[in-house]
Amino acid sequence: MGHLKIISNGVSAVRRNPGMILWLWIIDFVFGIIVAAPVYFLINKDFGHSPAGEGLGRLNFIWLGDSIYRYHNLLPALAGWLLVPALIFILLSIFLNGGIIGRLAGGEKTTLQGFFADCGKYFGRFFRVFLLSIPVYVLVFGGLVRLVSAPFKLWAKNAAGEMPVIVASNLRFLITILLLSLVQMYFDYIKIDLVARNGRKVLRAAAAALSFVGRRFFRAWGLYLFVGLLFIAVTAVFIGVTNALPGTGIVAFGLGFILAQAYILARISSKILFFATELDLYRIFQP
Amino acid sequence: MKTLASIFLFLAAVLCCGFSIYLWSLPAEGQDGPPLRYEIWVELDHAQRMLHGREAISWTNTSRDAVPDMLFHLYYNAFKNENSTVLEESKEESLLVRARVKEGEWGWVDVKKIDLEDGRDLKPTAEFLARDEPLHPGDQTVMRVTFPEPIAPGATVRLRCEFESRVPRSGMRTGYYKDSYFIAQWFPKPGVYEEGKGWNCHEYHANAEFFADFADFVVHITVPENFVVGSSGKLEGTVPDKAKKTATYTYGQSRIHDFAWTASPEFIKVEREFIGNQEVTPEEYEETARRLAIPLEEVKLPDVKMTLLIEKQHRSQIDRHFKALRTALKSYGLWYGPYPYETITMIDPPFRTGSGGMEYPTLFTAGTSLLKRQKVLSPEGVIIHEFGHGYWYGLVANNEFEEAWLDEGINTYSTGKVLAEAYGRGEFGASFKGIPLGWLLKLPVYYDYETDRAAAINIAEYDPVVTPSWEFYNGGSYGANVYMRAATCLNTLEGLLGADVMARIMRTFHMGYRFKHPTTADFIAVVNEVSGQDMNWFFNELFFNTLNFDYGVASVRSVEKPVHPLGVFEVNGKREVMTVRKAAELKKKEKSSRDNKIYVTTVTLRRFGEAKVGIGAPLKVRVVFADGSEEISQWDGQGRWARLKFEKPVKAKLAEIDPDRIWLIDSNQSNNGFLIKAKRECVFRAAAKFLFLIQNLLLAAGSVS
Repeated sequence: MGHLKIISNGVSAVRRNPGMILWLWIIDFVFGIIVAAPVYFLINKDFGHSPAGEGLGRLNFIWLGDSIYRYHNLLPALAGWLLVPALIFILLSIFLNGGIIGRLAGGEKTTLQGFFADCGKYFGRFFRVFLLSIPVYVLVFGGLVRLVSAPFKLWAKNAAGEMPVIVASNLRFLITILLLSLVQMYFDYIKIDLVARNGRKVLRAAAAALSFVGRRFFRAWGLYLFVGLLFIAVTAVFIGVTNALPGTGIVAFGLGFILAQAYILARISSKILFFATELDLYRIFQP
Repeated sequence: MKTLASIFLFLAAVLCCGFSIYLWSLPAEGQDGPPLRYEIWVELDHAQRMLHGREAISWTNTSRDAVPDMLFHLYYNAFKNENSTVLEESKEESLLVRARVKEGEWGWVDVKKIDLEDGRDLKPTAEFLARDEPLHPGDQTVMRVTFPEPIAPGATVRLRCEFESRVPRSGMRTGYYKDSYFIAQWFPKPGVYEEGKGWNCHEYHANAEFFADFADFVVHITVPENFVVGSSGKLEGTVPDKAKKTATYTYGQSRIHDFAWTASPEFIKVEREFIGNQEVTPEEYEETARRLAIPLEEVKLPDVKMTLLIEKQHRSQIDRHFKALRTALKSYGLWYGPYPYETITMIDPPFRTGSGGMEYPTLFTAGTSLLKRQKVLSPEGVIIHEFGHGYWYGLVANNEFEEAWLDEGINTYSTGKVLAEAYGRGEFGASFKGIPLGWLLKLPVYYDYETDRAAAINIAEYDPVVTPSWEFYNGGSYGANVYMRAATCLNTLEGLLGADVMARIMRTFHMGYRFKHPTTADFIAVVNEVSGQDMNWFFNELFFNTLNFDYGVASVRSVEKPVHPLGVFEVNGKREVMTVRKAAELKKKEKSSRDNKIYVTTVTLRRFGEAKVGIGAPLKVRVVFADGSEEISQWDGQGRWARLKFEKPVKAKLAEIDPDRIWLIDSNQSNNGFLIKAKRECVFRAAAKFLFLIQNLLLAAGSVS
């Protein structure tokens, strides 16, 4: 089965699970509201009654300067305020991934009960996968990226003009992204292996995933990158449409809000699509 | 052909020598010309990265003091070792470390020989001085030599000096990378003698620029023959040496106070003319003369030869560079005074020489990058700013060590005005990995004064604008204060005094102090004189203090005025009690009172900051009512708060303090206005964007799970 067929199957799987997308969106939205609420009240207090509030729709350096002056002491607190929810959200995502892969593997109609049952069922295993991923991320991004980037750095260091510096910098960035995709793909297959075999042993699943990916490396990675490119294309369309929207007015605000949430839905859908295509590939070779 | 070439070379050599002889035969220094003269012969040893130089200096004592010594700047010693003031200060600097010299890349200047014209050797008297507090005793950027006998008032001393300099790899404002050199602060240069005070000759500091006396220069620069050279001054001749594969370029310029040059085989040299009468229309001349209240002849602009040395990789931006330079020559010339030199040389700084965005007399370095969008006014802003320094620093030569705002602040203010008039708003130049993001995202557009203000308001409480450069809290405070805060204060001053008065102030100051060394006090005196007002309070609050300026509207309330006040009243000798019930009944009966309601609007104003407006400069307050009518009032701004009351048949909609946005330096303009009915849409819009950002961040965080 070719990549297009797998992606087509993945898209069908996404379309079969609108409820799952909706729940994931609600969780992201509510969580986002909780995090953003203090900032809303701050903006409302300082700009609600101010004519300068009219400029908030677009970045300008008058209100930005005012805000930096007012809130610069709050920045560490804001960073902390964002860090804690981010960590909680990682845990939440580990929990939700169980539901996503579990339901996709089951192939039945997704119910709320079934979804959360799978979330609970796989949380412990996926959490161990997450723990296992930490040293790998550190190793890859602390060491491997630097090692692979070294020739490019050297090239840039000895450059006689700007172009080699720009090219080297972008190549290094591309390498980082490709390595990230590799690591993420590998850990996706560990989770898929755990679900597909209903296994409990993470290290065994890690070895199985390594063997699986190793034996059909380019096929698996190509598929992952293909889905990634689809997501990039969606992002480009979103940016293009957003740039074309008028700047002011309630209609523009409404359209902008709907478009933004549609993009979030697309992001969530792409996450499901990654899992669905990977699961499909896994099943082809590990029936 | 060979004979012809030989004749040409001979003639060129004669011309160069002739020019030197001409310059040295000018009237005695200090009478008609500047107090200093230099003739310098310098050869670049490309293989060793060395400069071998000889220097003839003549200095006339224009003071009434007998001067026993002479202090020289030896700036290249800033890069000699880690005991230099620059490197010690850079290490101490927590915010910004600008000098990172690696092993084998040190730079220095050795004075091999220094003697008087009659041969008496001054070298044995040479010593290094480091006087600026806190002391850096290991610094060697200032050298003193003592004369056998003091130089009498009016007398001229002639010295001969031989020096060798190692060019630092890429120091602050000077250096080399591969085959390219930018050579600045490279020769032993006397300080400025100040009557009764002695030599003003500071060490090279991490957060400071320069100060020197006006001089006549003749400089002979020898470089490898394939190098393209650009330099301060006017090219007087070139003598190639086929045997040594070098070429010697002779440049001359009178009445300048520094001399820089560059050499690289990577340059493309382009020359164009600025023809004053083609660049400026008769109407523009007339309008300028009227505005400045000066004769038409005084605003006429001379022709100038423009030279651009641009790196081959930036050749597509040649027109862009010249357009900006023409704009600058025209605007600065019309506003402040005609450009007095025949040439201006614009250098696209050699790659990785650390020399971009810097000014020298009749020469400046710009700075651009390969993928620069037209909407981003980055090379334009740098070109206009650095050319502008030819006026503010070059011609009006303040002491940049001690009062850097006088050139940086005034020039930042000037740059913003030129850019705004010629180009309008520029796009925010964000990029990722060298690729401009403006191709992808809708980036904000802005005037310079907006970004200047954003920096200015956040630095007010660190240092006064008028602070010696090396005494600022850090590099950030130095930069934001002397550039942005000073410029923002000058924009505020323009708002207070009016654009025409400000234009006359700047013109008067510039022309009055051309070829001189003015101080802040001189500038304030011109402001007071031209405006006819005592503006000392303005400078005391905003230039000499660390006071934050913030006035605002704290609240606005509009309530119906009761027709029948409650309480006990004497009516026709009788005591009557008005209760709530009684008042309501009376109001029901009186139809007219229902139709003619009166509202009492109370506007509470506050001075949130410590800075105050002057006694004679009250703040304007505007109250807009529901029917569109307006009330204009004033507050003297001396107290911490004030309450204004208005009685009108309609409710207020909005109250604003400083509605004309005169006080650009106000650190919180968001509180300058107060709408009774909150505008939720704007808040929702901003909050929705923040929510979207958070949602994306959460999904990104979740993707590592």
